[in-house]
Amino acid sequence: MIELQGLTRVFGERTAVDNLNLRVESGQICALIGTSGCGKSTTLKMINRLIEPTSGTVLINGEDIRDQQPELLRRRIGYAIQGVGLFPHRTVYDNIATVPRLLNWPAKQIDQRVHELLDLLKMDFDTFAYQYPHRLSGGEQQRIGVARALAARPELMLMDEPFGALDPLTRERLQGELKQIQRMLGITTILVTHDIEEAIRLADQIAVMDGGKLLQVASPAELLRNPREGFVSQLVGGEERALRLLSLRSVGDLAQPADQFELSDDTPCIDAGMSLRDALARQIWQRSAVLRVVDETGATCGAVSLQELINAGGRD
Amino acid sequence: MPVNTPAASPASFEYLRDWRGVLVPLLLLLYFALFTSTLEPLLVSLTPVGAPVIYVRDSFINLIGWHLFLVVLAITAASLIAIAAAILVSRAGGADFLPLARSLANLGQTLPPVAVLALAVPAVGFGSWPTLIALFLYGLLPIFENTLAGLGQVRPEIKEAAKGLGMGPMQVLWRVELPLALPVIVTGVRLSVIISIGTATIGSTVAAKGLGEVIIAGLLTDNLSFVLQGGIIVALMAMLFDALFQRLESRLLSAQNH
Amino acid sequence: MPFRIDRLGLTLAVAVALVLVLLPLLNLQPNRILPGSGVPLGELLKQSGMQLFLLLLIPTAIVSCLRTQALFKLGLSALSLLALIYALGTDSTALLADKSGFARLALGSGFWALLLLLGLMLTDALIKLELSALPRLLLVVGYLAVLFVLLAGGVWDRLSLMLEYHNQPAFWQQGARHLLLALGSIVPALIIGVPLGIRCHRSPRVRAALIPVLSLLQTIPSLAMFGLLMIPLSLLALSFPLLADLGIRGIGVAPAVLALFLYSLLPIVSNTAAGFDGLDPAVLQAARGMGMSRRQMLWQIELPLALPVMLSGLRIVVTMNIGLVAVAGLIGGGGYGTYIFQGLGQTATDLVLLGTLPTILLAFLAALLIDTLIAMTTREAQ
Repeated sequence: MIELQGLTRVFGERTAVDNLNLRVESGQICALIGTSGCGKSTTLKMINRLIEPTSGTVLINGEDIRDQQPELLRRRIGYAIQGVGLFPHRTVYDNIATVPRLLNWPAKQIDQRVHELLDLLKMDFDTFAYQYPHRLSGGEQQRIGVARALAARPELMLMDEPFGALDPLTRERLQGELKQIQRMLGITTILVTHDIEEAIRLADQIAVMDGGKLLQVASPAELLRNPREGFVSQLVGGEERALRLLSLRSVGDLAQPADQFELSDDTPCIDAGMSLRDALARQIWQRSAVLRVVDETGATCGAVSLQELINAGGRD
Repeated sequence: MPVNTPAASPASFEYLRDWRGVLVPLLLLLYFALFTSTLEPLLVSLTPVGAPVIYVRDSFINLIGWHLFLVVLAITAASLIAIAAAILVSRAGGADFLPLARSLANLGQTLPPVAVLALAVPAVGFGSWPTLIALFLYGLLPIFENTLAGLGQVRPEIKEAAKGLGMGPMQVLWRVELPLALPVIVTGVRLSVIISIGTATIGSTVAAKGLGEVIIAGLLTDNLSFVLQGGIIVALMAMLFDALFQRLESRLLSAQNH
Repeated sequence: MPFRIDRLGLTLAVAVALVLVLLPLLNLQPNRILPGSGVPLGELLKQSGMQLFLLLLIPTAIVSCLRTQALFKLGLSALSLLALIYALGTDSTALLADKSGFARLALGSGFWALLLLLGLMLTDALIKLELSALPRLLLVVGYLAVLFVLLAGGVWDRLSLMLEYHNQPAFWQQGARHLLLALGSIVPALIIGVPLGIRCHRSPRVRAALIPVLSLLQTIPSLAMFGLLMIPLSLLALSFPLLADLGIRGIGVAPAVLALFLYSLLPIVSNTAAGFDGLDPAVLQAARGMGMSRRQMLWQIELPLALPVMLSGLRIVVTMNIGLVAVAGLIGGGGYGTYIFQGLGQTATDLVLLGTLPTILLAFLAALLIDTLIAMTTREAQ
């Protein structure tokens, strides 16, 4: 669990972060979102003391971060950033081993950890471990960046627009992988982003910032249903809100027993794991108000109708 | 209507500050060259007993003139040839020559100026000729290299756009590439001029006319006063030209960035 | 496939032919100082060595005109150059057979022009071979070693250049002294210049104050700088005889070393600053965010990444200093400059060459070595 209490940072005349209070439960992903210059990166950097707060405190599991030397604190916190910042003069292996080496882990343990992490990110050890970063694609570099941040089993992970520089396809794939890994390891994560889609896709909790102030903190569904007037509603998007809401739930969630509908062999199918947004798109494309819901084996496990989608995506 | 403001207006101070790099060495140079005798009391202690304190075999103005004449002649010729050569090898037809030209320019940097001077003597004998040849040859390198670099850094999309507007190859060269490369070329000319002023000084060991002969005469007769006079004047001259060219470069650059 | 013409090679081949016809390869001098007359090509061609050389040169020239394998061109031009050196050496014995004891055979302008042209062919082929840095260095050093063995074996001992060499027993000591002077001033310049460069990178105010002063120093011509430094140093030596005993005097090594030190500062300081300026901010932020201390960042990240740019500053300094030490010969600094200025004084061309050629070779080898280091450090980083 991490708590920011009354966190404030003033640069000269300008208050970059203004009395910010936020609490992220263990194992959750919190997205800090806002336009550039809203203070979200400053907030993130105050957590690993790259920037010292003017006032306020940060507690990690109840422990004040100022009780520890900044370097030692940072070695406990994973950190991944937009430019990735892989060390160009070191191999992938040495990049991943950076923090474990700073912590003086024995070589054998480091070696084991590098293998583990490359496995976790589905990257072949023999292909990648001894490459220099400039040989990797943007997506591969960012994966290594994540592996490097995870290397010393941090209790907290800070990510500053980690997927900002990637093309949309790669970005989406990496977001999926990140979510999976985060769930598996249960690492508390704070993610800075300006992309509302990314926040909705990844976060358990979204904190919207503007002009250094925290405007609203809510779960994605709550934020979409009841955004505060002004900046937050603009951010979540007027007309698109419904679609974004649909994207939060899976077809399996909403499926009704199949016998309530008259399904024929021509009724289009959809996997139970797809999102409601995908279901709506398929209904429109197939000109069919009903979809047959199938599980991984292909067996029918229910059906979903247009009316239910409308109910699920509409406002309360 | 222009008002006759006194020189103390802030604008003209700024003007003076911009030009002080040029003015300070210029004024000092003129003072040392024209009024050397006023320094005699200071220089006496450096002079062996009975030897002359001030160099009198030739006037400093005359020596400065010769020194500059050699430098200007050699660097003008070097600039013409080097810029033309760099343009040629950077065209499509010169592509065969480009890799060698690049690495020659790179290798040439390692060639000591004094070696070029020494090698010119067996070729043409003593006097001002070997110095002129050495200044010319050594002057080619920085200008050639900088012209290549300057032309190379013109972004391809700019050339593309110029072609797209209907310019022919010569028009692209004269109206787009050369103007954009000019500040870098001028930097090359500055380097050549500064190196030449130094090499021309050493040229006096092979009997070229110039300020080096004052220093050499001082070294030969153990007369530190001569060494000091020659050294200061030639150093001021180098500083003056460095400052002049730097002004020119920053003018050109600021013209490009506005 | 039709043969395609290499314009550069064609130009060089034509130049080689012109040189052979127009310029003398060897000059016959009545004695060490007096200028001689060129040995006519016809007479040279009667000698077996020259015939061998021509036999190699003709295919070399033809191949150089065509776009073919670079390795082929490299091998042929390298062999031709060796053959030229060998031929002039062996033929000189026969050419001198009926001449007086004072008569000397000197290398003529034709030889130097051929050396240059064949050198250009070699360089061009070497570039086109696109070797990586280390093999290229080894190849060049290996070739120079073969040349060295040829000369040490005495092929040229009848030519005036080598006669001059045998007259100078201190040749190798002068070489060591030359290198010592050139490199000796760089070590303190590095010790002071690198930290100053880092300061310049971190503080724009330090940079604004320091760089103009260092560039001003750089504009002062070397002879003037040596002269200007002689004055305070000789005054020092006069007031403190102890210093004079230690070698701090107006004339000799002290002003040279001090001047080289001052000249070295600018490239070292400004390239160090530029190297640090060029570091990717994301890399630095990542390093700090992972918990590296300042010292760890400096040694593990900043210095290794800035190294190639710093090394290219070192290249400038090393080659510049090797040339400047030669000028220091004029104020009694020693090194190969001594031969150059003695030779100029006596109008003894061979003595001038004996000073000039090794100076050029030293500068060239130093640059090649540092280029190799630069390539090796950037290959990892890029």
